Amino acid sequence: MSQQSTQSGSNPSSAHEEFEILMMGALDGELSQGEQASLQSHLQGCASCSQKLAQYRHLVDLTDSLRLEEPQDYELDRFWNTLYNRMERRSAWWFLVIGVVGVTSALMFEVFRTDLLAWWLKAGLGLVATGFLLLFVSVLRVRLRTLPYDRYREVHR
Amino acid sequence: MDREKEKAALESVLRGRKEDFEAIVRGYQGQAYAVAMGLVKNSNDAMDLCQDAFLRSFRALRSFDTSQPFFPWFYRILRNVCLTHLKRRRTFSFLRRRNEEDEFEMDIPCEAAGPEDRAEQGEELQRLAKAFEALPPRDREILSLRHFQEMPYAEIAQSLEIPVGTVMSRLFYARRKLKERMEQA
Ligand SMILES: [Zn+2]
Repeated sequence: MSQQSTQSGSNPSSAHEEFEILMMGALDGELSQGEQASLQSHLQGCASCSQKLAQYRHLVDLTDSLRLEEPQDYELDRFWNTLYNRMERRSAWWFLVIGVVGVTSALMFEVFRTDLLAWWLKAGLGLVATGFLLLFVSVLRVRLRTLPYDRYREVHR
Repeated sequence: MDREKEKAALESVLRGRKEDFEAIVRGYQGQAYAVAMGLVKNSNDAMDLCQDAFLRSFRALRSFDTSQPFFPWFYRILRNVCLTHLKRRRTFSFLRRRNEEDEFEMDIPCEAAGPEDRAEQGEELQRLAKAFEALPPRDREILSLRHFQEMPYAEIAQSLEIPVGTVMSRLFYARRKLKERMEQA
């Protein structure tokens, strides 16, 4: 079993690749002692892998010195403020929904119960209220769908 | 970010104190930005995608187990948001004008010894930045996690939902491509 992992002579290029993979772990400090030992013993007899290791070490050092440009402080402050507003907005919408639906239903209940209004006036008010609620809900559904992810933002930029 | 503080903040958010989410956002926004930048290469998009990801994580917080570290869980959300964005952008790419190409800005430090060494190293770093930029998103991603986030393999594996053993080979393929592209340039 151990001879297979250290010496697989039949396919030389893939055998070297196996050690190139181990080099990554060596450079990142992530190898187990066994892996470290098997890499070391291969490197002693393989000039091309030793050379590769030096190249990868240089590449890793170079990549480490690369830094992404960081956002400015004011951008980060704005980031939290915008986010908080978006977090709040959704609960504001829910308060609005519950409030509007509650008040409209209560009003309609009173309208239908009272003897002061003619039947046709009650029916008219009923239609107005139903229309209003339907519109309200449809506007809201569009809002809530686009709120978490505005998918057309990038198109008309 | 301190694990105890993080847990306390998240539990407080779950109890309804939304403003305590600020500590989480401030603790991770830099990392989140670097990850998003590694994937989408455009700083405005990266900022927007981070916002979306934080918002989503806030809304999904009830499904999060606070005994676990926040970042790997959040990372999976952020990654989804970014990959969806990349996919959609590919679909809509015919709508984008040529001069709206992504700008990928990197700070290239010049702290090497002599001025001629410095110039040479600067030139090499430029080539590296170019080669990095031209890599496929998934290669940029794993390299960002390793180099910009300085994550150990176990955390990379957790964030990408891949076995730890795969991290080393994926880093190898990414670095080999990077090396080849640098040599070609
Ligand atoms: Zn070899």
